[in-house]
Amino acid sequence: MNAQPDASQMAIARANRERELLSDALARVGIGDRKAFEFLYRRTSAKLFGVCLRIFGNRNEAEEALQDAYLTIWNRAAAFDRDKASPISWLVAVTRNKAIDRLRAHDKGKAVDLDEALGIADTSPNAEARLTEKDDAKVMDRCIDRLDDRDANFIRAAFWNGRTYADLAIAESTPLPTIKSRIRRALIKLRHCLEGSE
Amino acid sequence: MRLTDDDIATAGELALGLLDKAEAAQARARTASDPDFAAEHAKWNDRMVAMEVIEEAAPSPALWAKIDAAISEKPRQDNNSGNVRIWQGLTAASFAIMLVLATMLWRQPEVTSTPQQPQTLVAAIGAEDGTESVAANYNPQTGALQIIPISLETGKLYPELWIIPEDGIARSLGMIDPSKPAVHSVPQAMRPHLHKGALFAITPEPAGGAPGGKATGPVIAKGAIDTI
Repeated sequence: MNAQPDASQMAIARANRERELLSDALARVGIGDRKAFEFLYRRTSAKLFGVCLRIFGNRNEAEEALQDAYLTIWNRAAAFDRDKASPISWLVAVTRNKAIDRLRAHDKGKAVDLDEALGIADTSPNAEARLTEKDDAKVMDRCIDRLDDRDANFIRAAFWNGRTYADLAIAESTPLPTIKSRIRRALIKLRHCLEGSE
Repeated sequence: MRLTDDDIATAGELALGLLDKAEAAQARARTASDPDFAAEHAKWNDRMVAMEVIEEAAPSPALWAKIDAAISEKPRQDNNSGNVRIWQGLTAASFAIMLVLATMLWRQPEVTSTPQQPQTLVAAIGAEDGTESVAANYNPQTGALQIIPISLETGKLYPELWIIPEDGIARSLGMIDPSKPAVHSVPQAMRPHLHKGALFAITPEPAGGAPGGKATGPVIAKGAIDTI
């Protein structure tokens, strides 16, 4: 018997502790605890700023988006349900959604530059830099590899650059229904691969 | 119920923001009523986040002070079920569709109890520039007035709702909540004033409402009552 926990077990334990810590902080923010809110900010702002930078690519815009996001987190923390979502996923989703709203408000009337959007997403994910556990990262890499490169980029451009079907159809000069069925197929494929029922 | 591949793709489309506003509103409504669909939708967010390396980066040290100064004393407890957000995101066209949908949903319980369906009255209450502020629907049979805020900003003041019938006199219907939908019971004396052609108006007023029942703020939104 090996009493020494291995590295991956320790990583999982650390991740669970972090999850508890952030869930507790969010619960306290939900009842208006400003100290908990500051703790949460100190603990998560680098990650969430990374999300904003991923979407805007410029610090000023990204900081404005981050400020928006934390105001929303303050006002909405009570709706966080620790049994249903991980705190970091919830925080990232709120931040991403606020930032995309802001991006879309800016982009209104501007021509869609899909190449620019796809260009940013062209690097392949680096498993070590991920916050998720290593095994998850491996599964994700394997499943993305199975997608057509263009489909994977469409999916990224939608989530991280706020592209809609209409945007993608125009940028690709492809009828919207074609794009739509292509992406739906890719989503189904990705999901089954990730959930292990390929 | 087990989700089909179609459901999975739709949950993904919603999470990715691919759908147009009317489709998104429909899919979001399903997250409220179907826990499996809601779970699938949440998982798509996780999957998309895991798909990408997010490099952490420290925002400027001054940002915390800005956020700390900008937050309200107490959280507004925004409802995360998405209701308010959906309504805020609607365009004029899909807004009309949703108004009809909302009215239908709201009327459902009545279908069995009333032999003759009452004529439901609706109004889109909007600002000068055409943006919708509030959607209202009114059931003359029961006096229930449903107020659905879409985008209503009154700064430090609070929105008060008025009804202005043909005589041109504004009568207060009370304060409304700009953050979430609510159903108000219209006082008996006011009910005759709520009919097709009468005008709803909203003014910003101090807490507790306009002193003496006379509006003090400018009309920031208005809309005529119509039948559907």
